[in-house]
Amino acid sequence: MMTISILKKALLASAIVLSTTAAYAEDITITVWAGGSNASDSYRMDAIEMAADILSKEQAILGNELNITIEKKRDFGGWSEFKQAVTLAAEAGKAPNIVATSHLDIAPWSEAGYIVPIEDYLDLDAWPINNIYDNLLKIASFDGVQWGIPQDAESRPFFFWKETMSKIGYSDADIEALPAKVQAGEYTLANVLVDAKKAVDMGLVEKGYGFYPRASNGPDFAQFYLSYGGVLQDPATGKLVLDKKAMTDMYQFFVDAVAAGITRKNHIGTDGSQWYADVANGKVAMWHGGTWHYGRYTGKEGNNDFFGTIQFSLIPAGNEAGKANTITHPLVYLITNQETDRAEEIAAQLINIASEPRINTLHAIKSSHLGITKQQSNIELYSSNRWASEATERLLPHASSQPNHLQYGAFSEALWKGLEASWTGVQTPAEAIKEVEAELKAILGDELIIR
Amino acid sequence: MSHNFRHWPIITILTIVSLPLIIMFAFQIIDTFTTHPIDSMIPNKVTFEQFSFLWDEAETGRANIWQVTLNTFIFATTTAVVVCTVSMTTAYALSRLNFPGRRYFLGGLIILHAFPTVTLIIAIFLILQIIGLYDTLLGVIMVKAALELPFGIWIMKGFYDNVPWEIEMAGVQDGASRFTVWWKLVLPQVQPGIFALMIFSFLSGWSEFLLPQVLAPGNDAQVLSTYMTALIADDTKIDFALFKAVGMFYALPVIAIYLIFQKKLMNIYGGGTKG
Repeated sequence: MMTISILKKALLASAIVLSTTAAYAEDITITVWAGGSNASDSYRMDAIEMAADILSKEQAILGNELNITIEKKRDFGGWSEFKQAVTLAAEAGKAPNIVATSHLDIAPWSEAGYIVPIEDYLDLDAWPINNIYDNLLKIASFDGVQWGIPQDAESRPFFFWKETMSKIGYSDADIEALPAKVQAGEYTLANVLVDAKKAVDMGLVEKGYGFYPRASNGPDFAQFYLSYGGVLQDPATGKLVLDKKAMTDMYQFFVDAVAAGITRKNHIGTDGSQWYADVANGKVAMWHGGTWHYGRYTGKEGNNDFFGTIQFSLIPAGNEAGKANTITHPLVYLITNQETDRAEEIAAQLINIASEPRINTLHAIKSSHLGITKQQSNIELYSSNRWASEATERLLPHASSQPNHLQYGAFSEALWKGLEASWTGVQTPAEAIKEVEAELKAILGDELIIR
Repeated sequence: MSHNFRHWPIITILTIVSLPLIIMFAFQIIDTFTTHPIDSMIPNKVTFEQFSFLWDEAETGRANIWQVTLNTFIFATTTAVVVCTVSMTTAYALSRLNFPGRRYFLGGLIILHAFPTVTLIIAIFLILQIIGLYDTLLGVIMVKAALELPFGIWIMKGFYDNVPWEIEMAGVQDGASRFTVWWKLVLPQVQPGIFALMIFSFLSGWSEFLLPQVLAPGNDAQVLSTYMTALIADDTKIDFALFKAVGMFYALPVIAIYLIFQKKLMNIYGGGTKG
């Protein structure tokens, strides 16, 4: 890999030297597909277009005519349709040049040969990549190879409705101190159960609206597994880990929440818009979500006083074994395997330019995501945005991610199935764990460590 | 009048049963032209804003509505023309000519017609990939037309079967070639069938979702059905009014065709020369 990489860089260098001597017009079309993107995520694609403009101008100064046309697409129906489209297009040799997708796709897509390592084309020690947070950069790598560049960051906080909290006996100062107490492990999920029950018993929120979790599978639930001391991946071997004790405790937490009447037994599958409307305007005492929810709460849901009504913190620890945490699930830019090296090389350069702090800030603020580079705190648009700066400071340093493992999808799916069975009362947590263990053993075999 | 009154119990029951459907359609239309407060279903303002997708510039990464509509139109029309042309000739051969393997051909048609599209999708993808038509409108049109053909041929064969032999015999005896006979004498007899088939395959193409979704994900080949799914999947800003407006826009040609041609469409179930 190393020699190939050096070889490619040498070729690249000679190409640049050659191109400066003989000026010729070059036309190239770069296609960008962004998965799971809404209108507010437009800079996932627009940033590449801005980068193309800059690159062409840079080349023009060097005497080269480089015309880059950018084709953008984000309408795929949903994540699964997007992944299907990328997979089929890659199989047909018509993959888009750049995809903005979940970092979890790196493992399967690199194994399948759909993507090429970005480190073959870019110097990771040069600006702006050397300014990207190390933990984010690591999330975009797999098996020691840097496959992609983080496109944005986010994290998944725990939310409290301030008014409800104060009515159950928290002073304003207590509420202000909550995030720190959560971080220190002094306020745990056990407190969540107690406080949410208080809110329900006092009639401040309806039964089942004390604690309002995400209503479908997602990275969020792995956080609760971590809260009880669970580990997702063994750092030494890279194998996935099923910590039965932690997983049982986590299932039990949701079972207890249902038993206490603070979470609905039939909560799973609650309609998305209903869910947002419920949490954004005080129908719910506590819940968890994502940093990008800020845009939705203050936008479509019409909460004009976010900081006055809502407190946010890390996901509280479950017991002494675990600690307060949050998971970041950044999207990454990946370059796909193309017929010509030239297309891959230009795509890589565009990603490089699009990762500049100023350009990335446009996306971060417009879509309520977090930045990827340290220097973004020096860009006024970013630093003057209270949500971006506070969330970055409070959450991002403690953020971990889900492992880039070929079989992590199956692991996450099994975790969810067990949780669903326990939550809805179909199985006890112990029974559910037994099934999860059997299923994971069958799928993962050697790649699983059971504790 | 009195006749109608005698049936009032049935009419009442039918009205009640179809009420949900009627209310649904009514709100589909009302909601596209009005706005209403969040906690009420009663409209408070008439607006055309929901149709702004027709004239506003497309959002980043979203296809242009007119391009998409044109694609849908090309897709449906070409499918209809191909299906009709091929069905017209194939069905004639199957109905009138005695060629080897005719029986198996007919059996094969029925089997092909029975295959749900989704079971073939992987194989179709591989074929398109090999011939380089994946992610092109042409590729999807070919697939759609091929999948519609068994139905078309079968229907047209039914129409030809009902044309009396004597008409052709007379033509042949007068010295006309087989082709002239087919073109000048037989085709006019099966015209209602061709017409109905044309409309049916057009509508089928107009509403096709699965094939374009899987086989042509690029913006250039998007059609209205895939455009609509993307609208509803927007999870931070679901705009139901917009969705309904696009739905209306999508349904208009279909409604128009049904209103204009409903009598002719019924022919596909009757068929052949009358009297």
